[in-house]
Amino acid sequence: MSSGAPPASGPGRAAVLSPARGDGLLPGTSAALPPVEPVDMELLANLPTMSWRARYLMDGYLTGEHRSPRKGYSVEFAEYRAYQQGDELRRVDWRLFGRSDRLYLKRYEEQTQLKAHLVLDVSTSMSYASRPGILTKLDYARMVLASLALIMKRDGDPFGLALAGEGLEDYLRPRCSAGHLHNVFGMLDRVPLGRPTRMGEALFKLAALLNRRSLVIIAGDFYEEASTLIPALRRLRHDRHEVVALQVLDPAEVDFDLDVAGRFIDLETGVAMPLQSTAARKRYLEQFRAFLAETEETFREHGADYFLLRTDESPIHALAGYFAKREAVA
Amino acid sequence: MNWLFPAFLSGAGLVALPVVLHLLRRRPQQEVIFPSLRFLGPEAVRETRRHRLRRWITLVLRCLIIALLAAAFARPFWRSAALPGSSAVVVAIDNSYSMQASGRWEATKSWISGQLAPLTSGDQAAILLMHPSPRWLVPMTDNIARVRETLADLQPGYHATKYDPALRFSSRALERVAAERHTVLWAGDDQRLGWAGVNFERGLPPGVKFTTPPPPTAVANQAAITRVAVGSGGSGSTVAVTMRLFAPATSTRTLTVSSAGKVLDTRSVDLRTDQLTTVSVPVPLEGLEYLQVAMNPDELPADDTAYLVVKGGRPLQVLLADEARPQGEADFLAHAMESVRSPLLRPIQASALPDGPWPTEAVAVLRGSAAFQRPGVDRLDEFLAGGGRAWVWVDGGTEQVAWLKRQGVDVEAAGIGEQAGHLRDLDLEHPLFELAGEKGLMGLLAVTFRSPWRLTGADMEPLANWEDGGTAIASVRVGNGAVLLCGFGATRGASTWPLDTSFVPFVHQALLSLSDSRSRGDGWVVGDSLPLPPGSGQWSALDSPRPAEVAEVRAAVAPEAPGVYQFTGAGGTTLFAVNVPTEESDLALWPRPEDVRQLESKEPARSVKAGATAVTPGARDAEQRQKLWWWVVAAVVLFALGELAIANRTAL
Repeated sequence: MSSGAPPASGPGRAAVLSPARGDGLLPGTSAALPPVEPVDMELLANLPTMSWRARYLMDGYLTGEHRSPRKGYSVEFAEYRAYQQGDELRRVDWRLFGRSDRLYLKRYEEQTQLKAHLVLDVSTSMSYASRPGILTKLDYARMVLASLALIMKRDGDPFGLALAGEGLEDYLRPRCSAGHLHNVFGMLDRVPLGRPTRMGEALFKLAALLNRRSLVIIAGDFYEEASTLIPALRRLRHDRHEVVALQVLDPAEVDFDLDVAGRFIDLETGVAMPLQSTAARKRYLEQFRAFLAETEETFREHGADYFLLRTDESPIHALAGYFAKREAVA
Repeated sequence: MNWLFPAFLSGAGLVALPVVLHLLRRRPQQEVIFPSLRFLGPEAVRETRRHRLRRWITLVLRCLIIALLAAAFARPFWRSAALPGSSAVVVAIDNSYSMQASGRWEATKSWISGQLAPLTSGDQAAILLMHPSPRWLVPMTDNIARVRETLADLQPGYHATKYDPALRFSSRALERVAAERHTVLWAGDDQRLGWAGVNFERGLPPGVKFTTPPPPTAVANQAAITRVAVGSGGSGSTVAVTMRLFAPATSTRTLTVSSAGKVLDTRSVDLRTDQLTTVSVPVPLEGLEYLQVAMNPDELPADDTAYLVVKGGRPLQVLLADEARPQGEADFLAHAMESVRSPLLRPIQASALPDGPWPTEAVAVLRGSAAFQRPGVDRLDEFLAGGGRAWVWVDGGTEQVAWLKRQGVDVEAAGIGEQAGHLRDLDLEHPLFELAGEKGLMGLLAVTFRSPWRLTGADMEPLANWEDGGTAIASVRVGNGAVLLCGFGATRGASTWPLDTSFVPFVHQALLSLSDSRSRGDGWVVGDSLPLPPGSGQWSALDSPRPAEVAEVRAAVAPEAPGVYQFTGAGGTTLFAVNVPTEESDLALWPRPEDVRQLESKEPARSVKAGATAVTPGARDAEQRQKLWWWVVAAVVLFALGELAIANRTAL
């Protein structure tokens, strides 16, 4: 059980995505998160490529009760009505005419096509894994975003990808085709590493590229001052975009249950510090939890949803959270 | 720092345990990659340094706790360092009664005072009493005034002299005292008896000076009463008093027999040097409890008085085996035991042989065959193994002969032919014949014994023979006990003796001589531990030159002075006569003074080893005064609390 998870607080409270925590409700609704099959994290980590992991994850999710991914988005049948003079004949349900000798038209719900933008934090700190057998934060985040892309492809929702490092490193516009999926996977595979984080700047630039209401899903560790995200979050909110923050963290970062003494080296800055982990733990946890709380608060205050993901726990609830959000937006 | 029990210091080796654990738990320094150290900061570094320091402090505290615990058990104390010119003196006091010879005690005390006069602050002294075994009257102390005061009040004792134990004890004690000079002041009278048995080849430890006073002046007038015993004379009871004259060559002494202050007899006795003189004083014993026999005092008055308990001793318990007798014949032996009415003798309580174990303080009178058949013979063997004493009337019975044979005594009919057997060659020195008196002995010699039995055995002590020279009466040791053998029976069929007037006194005296004479209430000397009847009771002196206060005692008591003492308990009153050990009366000096001088070692003193085992009274005294162990334990407790507090914060 991660001890670093921020407590739920505020009107847009974060849904806890670990099976052992939280009330299992979609944020802002009383709808329960759909139940999902457990995922073997060790198997997941041992799968050779990101696409395999994404498909495994998606299959794991889809073998649950959510059996019927959305097929098509364009129309949704609502009701029949009698044919009237001037109606288009192509909208007549001829099968029904064959059975009933009467002319009826199908009336459809007007669908909203929601574009999704997947944002991946490619800062240096994302390359961390505390022990063998678990994924690095980057691999974990890529896997989650790849799974989401797969699901979106199946549902027919356009999806794009942005890599956030020092700024907006790379960007693929939202589309929904097999080829686009291939491009997205390829971009996820070729993530450039070794850059410091400027997520706020990257998001701000992304916001400028969005021309209609979209769903922005950000996966990263958000290791920067929360205040730097605020301008971007405000812009996104102002433009009526929906934001979902997936904070991906290693269990060692959350619990700091290391028992080592030595030179601790900061991945991002390269600064070294001689430490005894057990001596520093108390102080670290105080600071880290404050950071988590501040991060969550920042997203929440700007109308975003927030999920804390541990790399040693199944991310399927992140997928469930996406679906729930998707339903809410639609 | 010195230690009372330095062996416990080896426990300090356990200090290695926390050190090893500490080293095992240390992890090598390594490089640890971490995503972001922004949540750690300089405070974490400081905490790390503090943590490291706390670990070291915890380790040190744990080591200190273990080391201090070992030190506390070893009982530390500060011994006064050997100050330049400091002295340590043991005054060994000869508290035997020979020191009461005229002028000796005062002269010795005066000499000691002179020897102690130069002692000052920084010096140490002790007083050791030599007898009956060495014991500290004043343990080694720097309080010289206390030593002088104790010496001034000291009185001579009534013990016998034996120098060797005190000699070795005092010198060993001095070895462990931190001082420049170590001296034994030997306050004795150089008595030959005291030095007998000392190994002069084995000198004192190096550096220990042995100082003796000038030899005492010879005593010009010294005699001693060596023994008193009641007997029976022609017309009544007598008291046999044995005396010995040491100086001058001849002397006439006045002998007084009294009881409870009442003089019963006074007479003059001529004594010759180194010759025992025994005088039988007729004394009516009716109504008397004890006797005091005294000579006019000489230069050593302690041995001029002796005490004897006449009545009030413990009854003599006799286990009497039954035997088959011709119908109508009386049991003369039993009648003889029952006939004790005279206060001269101890009452005899005769009973049959018990079914269970025989009490070893009783005398077993065995006749017939029952006692030599199972299970009686097993109990007899146990009885003798436990120190019991038996009287066997030999009748040639098969089991009896077989048992005697197992004890190394062969029995055969005395080959006297048709002639009856008569006794001769009586050992008159043996207590067996003490009560007989001249007339009684003549009567015994005239007795005709039919069916006499000759006793033979290598370990027997013959006490009387038959006419043909074979042993008729003998004593033999069996196990821890003793057996008196009479090669004849006590029936009318065996002889006419039971009808003779010598029979009853002989029976009584035989029983008395077999019984532990000390259980009679006399035979004790100063230095003995007197066993008391069961239960507690009051102990008081009826007559003594140095009576002690009435005291509540139980089990045993060791009087320090001669006299007649009384124990009154639930079972009644028992009297004890305690005399001085007569061997001490010989005041002859040790003939070779050079032997005593060579006791002093020629080697220089060895320095007192630091931490040497020094469980001497002085060391113990110093440790008990200083109580350093208490402070050490207090420090342990403090350190333990500190360790707890710090260890909790190091999360080891």
